[in-house]
Amino acid sequence: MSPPLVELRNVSKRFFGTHAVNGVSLTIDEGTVHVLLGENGAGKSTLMKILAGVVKPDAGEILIKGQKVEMENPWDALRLGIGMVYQELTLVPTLSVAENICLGDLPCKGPGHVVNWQLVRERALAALGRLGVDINPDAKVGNLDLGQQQLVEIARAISRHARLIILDEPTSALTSNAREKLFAVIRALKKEGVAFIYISHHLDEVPMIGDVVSVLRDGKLVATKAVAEVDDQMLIRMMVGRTLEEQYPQEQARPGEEALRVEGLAAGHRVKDVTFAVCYGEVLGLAGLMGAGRTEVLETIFGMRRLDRGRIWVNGREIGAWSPQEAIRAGLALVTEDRKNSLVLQNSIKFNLTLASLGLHSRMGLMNGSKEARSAVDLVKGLRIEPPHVTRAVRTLSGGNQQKVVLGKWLCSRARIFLLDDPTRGIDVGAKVEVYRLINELKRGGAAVVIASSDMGELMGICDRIAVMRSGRVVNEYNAREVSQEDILAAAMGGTVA
Amino acid sequence: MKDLGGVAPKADTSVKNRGMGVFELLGKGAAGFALVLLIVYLSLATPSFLDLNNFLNIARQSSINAILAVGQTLVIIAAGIDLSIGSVMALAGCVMAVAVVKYGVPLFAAVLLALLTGVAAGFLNGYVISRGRVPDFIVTLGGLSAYKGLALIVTDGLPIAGIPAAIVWLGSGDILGIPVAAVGAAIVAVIGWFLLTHTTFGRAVLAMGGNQEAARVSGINLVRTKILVYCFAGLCAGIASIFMVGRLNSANALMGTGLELSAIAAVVIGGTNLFGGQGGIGGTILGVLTMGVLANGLDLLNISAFWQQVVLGVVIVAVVVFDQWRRRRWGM
Repeated sequence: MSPPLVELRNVSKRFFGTHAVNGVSLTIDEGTVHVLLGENGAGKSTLMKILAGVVKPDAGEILIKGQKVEMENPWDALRLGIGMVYQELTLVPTLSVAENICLGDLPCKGPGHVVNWQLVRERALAALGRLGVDINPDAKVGNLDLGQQQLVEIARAISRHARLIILDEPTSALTSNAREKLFAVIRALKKEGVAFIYISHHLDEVPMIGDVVSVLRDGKLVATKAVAEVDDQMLIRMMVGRTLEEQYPQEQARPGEEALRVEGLAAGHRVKDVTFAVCYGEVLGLAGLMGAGRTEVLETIFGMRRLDRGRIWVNGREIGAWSPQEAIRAGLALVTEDRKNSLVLQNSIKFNLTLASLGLHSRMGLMNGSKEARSAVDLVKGLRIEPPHVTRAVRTLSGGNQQKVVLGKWLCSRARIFLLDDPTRGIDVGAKVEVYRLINELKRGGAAVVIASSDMGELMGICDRIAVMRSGRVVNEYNAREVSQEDILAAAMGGTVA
Repeated sequence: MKDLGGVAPKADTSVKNRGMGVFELLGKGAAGFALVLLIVYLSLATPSFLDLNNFLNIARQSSINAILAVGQTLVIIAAGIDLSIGSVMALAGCVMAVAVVKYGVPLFAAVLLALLTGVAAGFLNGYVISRGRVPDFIVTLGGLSAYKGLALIVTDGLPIAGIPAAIVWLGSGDILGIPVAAVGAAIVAVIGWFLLTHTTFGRAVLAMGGNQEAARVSGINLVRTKILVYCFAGLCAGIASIFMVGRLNSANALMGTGLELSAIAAVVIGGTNLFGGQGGIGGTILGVLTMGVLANGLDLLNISAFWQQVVLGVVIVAVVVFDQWRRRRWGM
């Protein structure tokens, strides 16, 4: 038996002390599609970056056709026949299809390294021909639709003689037509012996395109199975793992008046039909996978996106189109998904804490310095922000402390309705627990909280109710105490659980 | 990060930042450092430099650049840039001069007209930038040409003479031995400093320049802030025009040519970040004085005006290079 095309043996990678990938072994055979499943943060991306030469593993080895290889950078990987197609495509939209396919390896002639355009075109045509797709090599990439652009990326990998192509959530933004086209290309290349690693969040795609499926959880490989041996329910159970212990401090909900209600919300192409309500003294979770539209829903409510359809009520009063200023005045707060979008990093803790409540700290436009200082010092103490120097630039704080400054800004503005977009993203475990505690304090103090997150366990731990979003719609709502993680994941992914 | 200069003891949550460390003082800007070096050198090199009258002369010559640079500072901190202020200044001065000389408008009203012209031009800049979502650079580049053109139209391309004595006094007179224009510049600088550090408008400017997205999420009205900051730059240009017309004892449409670049140079030498969010009036004044002292000193050293341009260019780049190095070195 000949050795497998690519083999990973006990590969590990640590980031800041936590294992992103922990002792994973994986075998990929020629002419197969290997589906990789796992929740966000399970280690899929890191593992693939290791294979693509972007990240160097701390331990373990990579073998290609039985030969141990070392990869220093993506070019090494490419030379060894491993091509990666990222979710965010890496084409240059202003250049032609042919130029993009040959980019980085343009064939030249003569002493002046003049590009041989004829050869560029021929190579592009050959690659597109192997895919069996009809794309004009002279077309500008920016004028192609997303599905076609993806095929161009695959053609680029093929033109470099890739034997293994990694596809990172290739269908997340595709229409079903484009998806069929992509699958046809994959099947055609499979026949030539090209192997694929296919990362997906869509369970229904597993039997459609996969031969083998592997599930990752918390950086570890849970299992590798033939697709024929598994069903949706098994896969979900493998992804979620054992039931979560009670690791989240929780308060009993005593819901008061209705704080916020949205009905039939639609905005742009990411938010299509969202309905939910949240009361004071209650925490509502907004679950959903990446790209389900969670962020956009919160931004729309906060007045940062144009409302196309639907209605919003705050404190029982309907509001139409409004601005963040008006939202803040009505007591809303938005903690953005990326902390950097909430903070002016080079400015002080004090500057950032009072930024959303300048009106409360001024009179006729004149800042009240002592009042401002008092607010800042109180918040720094109350939130245990470290180091407790209000003049310190926020840039110098740790991620968890920066997040506390963001929350502090909204406490300072006397917000009562908190929209938190993935508030524990990228902060360490200790800081996470502090953020959970803060959310509980908000709830005890009678605030209404909406938390968007793709961490199902987190949502089940801190929420009273959970609304699940899929492709811009709220598809189901659960009582957090009566739902299993499997149910939520199934609703978010559109699979079924018997 | 290490505490530099031992500013605050560990558990101190007080806001006041008493006692600057040496590094932090140095951190106030490469401009201060360059200025001190220049003064020391020129004092030793030429006997006529270290003289009160010479310093008053420098102050007089720097005042118009200072007034324009104060407006420019706020614009640049807000992550904008105003290339039109030289032309706006010329237009405002010409409008005032024509109003007084040709139409016999009362002096007070004419001065007000100059200020209004400046504010209106600034408003137009800010409005088109924020509402039309056109880059600051493009809009004010257009303004640079258009406002100068309007000034030429207003004056028919001719210098306007016969400026009232009161205006001439503002431009070249003294008050208690100090040039009136320098007093004017000091007042404008204090106003600019106060706006930036003590008002909600100043906060909005700093936040918008530092991180536009964060400012928006925090409820800062970006459109209003942008328009206001350009209005302030226009107002400064209007104020500068009065002193300029007084100093020239005439008005002409080309009197502002190139002044926008001097103002930007002063702001940059003063350590304000060209990408916005960081900087202050104090640094800008140091920048203005550095440029003034340099020009004066090179005159005293009998260096030709041609070489002065070269030296100024080198100094601008050298100061910024030093500033970058200092920030990297000490992380400030």
